[in-house]
Amino acid sequence: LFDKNLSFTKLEDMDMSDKDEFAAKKMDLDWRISVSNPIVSYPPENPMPGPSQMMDSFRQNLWHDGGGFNVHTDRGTSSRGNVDRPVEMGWNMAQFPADSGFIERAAKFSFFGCGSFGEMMMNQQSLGGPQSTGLFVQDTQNQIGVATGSNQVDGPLKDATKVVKENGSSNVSEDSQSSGGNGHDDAKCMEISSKRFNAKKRKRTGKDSEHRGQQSGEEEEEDKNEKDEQSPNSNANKTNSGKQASDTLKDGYIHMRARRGQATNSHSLAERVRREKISERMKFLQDLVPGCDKVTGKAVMLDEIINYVQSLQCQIEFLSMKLSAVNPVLDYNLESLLAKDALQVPAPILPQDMSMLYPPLSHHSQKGFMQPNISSMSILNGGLIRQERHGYESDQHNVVHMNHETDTAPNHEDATGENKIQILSYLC
Amino acid sequence: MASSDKTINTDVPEKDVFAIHFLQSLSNLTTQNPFNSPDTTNYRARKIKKAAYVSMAKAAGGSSRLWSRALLGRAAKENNKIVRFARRKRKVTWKISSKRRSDQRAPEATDRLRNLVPGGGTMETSKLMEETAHYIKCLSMQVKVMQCLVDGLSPK
Repeated sequence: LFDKNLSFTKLEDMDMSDKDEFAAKKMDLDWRISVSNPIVSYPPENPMPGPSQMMDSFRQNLWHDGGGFNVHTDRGTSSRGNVDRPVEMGWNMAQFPADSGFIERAAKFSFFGCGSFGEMMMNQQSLGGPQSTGLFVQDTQNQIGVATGSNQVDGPLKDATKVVKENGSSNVSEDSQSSGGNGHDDAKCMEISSKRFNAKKRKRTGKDSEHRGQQSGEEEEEDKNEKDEQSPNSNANKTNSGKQASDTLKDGYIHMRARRGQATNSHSLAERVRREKISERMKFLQDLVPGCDKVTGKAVMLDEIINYVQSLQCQIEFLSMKLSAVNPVLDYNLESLLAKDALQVPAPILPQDMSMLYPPLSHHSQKGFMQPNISSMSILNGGLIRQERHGYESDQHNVVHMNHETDTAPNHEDATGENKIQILSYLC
Repeated sequence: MASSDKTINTDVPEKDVFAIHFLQSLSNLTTQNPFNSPDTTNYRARKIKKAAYVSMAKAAGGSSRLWSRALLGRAAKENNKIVRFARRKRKVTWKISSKRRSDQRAPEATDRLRNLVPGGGTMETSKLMEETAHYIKCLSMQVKVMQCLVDGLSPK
């Protein structure tokens, strides 16, 4: 349903020559995760290369080092080994000069790696290494915090800068195998708390101050680290519950991929999930309510549904009134006749003729049917006579027919009337 | 009339189940009110209607459906009895908080639906739709049963 088009469409919008290569490639988990690894390969004492060179080396290492930080559990050991590396990386990155050009590139790159960070954290957690996760995330956050300048990448950067989540509180789902989780994780990155980010913003140069200012102002509202998605921009309460309601994985999140040209805001994603669920159910209801195939639109459909429900309820009320009018027939010692075993064991159907009423009664007693007293039976006869005068001949033919097969339970009846007559025969 | 959807399950038992439950409830009704008929037919009609709803809820949902639980709970409260079901995980908090905020909204169609479907006050909209679908099916089944009864019993 959700095509695999990337949520990284903003990447394409961005005018990044460097990034085009990344964007062109398939977003595999492996190479994205291994973002950290090429950095690791730098020995600590290496003097900082220029930003372009670094990017080249990044790219280079990316392609070659595809399996470095493997998500899958079959390479658990190797990934374990890589867990400690990001710490190194952090130290490495601390040495990078805050070059403006580099900052911009790194900013774009960090957005790009946002999804990977989320998954990396997730994978870290899945490996059970929360400590290193926190450390790793913290250190990378330094750099990400530094490089959030350009207005081009306003939206995605906002996502990127919120990568960092508090240690141990990341609840990103562990569906590492689904590449469909990309957009989702990207969206999830956004709502991950950026407390580190807030801490680091003071380190920034002044050029980003106002841009950051508004961001931090919004973020300070976000105190929660949970998946509640308390968003500054939309009332996400309903979307939260909508999102939490869908339960596909063990922590209950449905993987969504943002479609092309649509917002990758986690809230809008959740809203979309919810809206689609509702429309799916509306379609289902449309089949249910008669005469609603031509109706389109939620509002009209809802009105139709409401009318239908109201009409059904009115029908029930009307029928109950009618039943109360004919109820005197039912009043006669119903309980004695409507014994439980009588219901479960279908007694032989009463024959068509009233004269034959009495002999079958003895049959009833033999079969364990409750023995009604004579007075009630007479009343019953009255009821039965009244019934027979209605002319249920066709039914009575069936009744006689059923009389021969005394032990068959009337499981399926085609005509509703016959079914009722058989049950009524218990009563009357 | 039982049907099921791929993701949404709205199975409804057969007519017999409804009929049996309804007749049992009717018999309980008549034993409660002895042979001397009560004051007005209106009173009896209301009783029968209540019995119809309760039997429908029992037959169709039991405690696996939100609306049936709400119905049975409501009926039990009227009789001053308490019925307790197994507590499901309820995400009530969000819904309630959002409800309070939007109290001033004009009665929307969904709100009207909530008023109609029992127990619809604290349901999500998607859940409400599911419950409505099942409720509609059960209602129509109950209507059929009652119609047959009336036809069978009505004097000509």
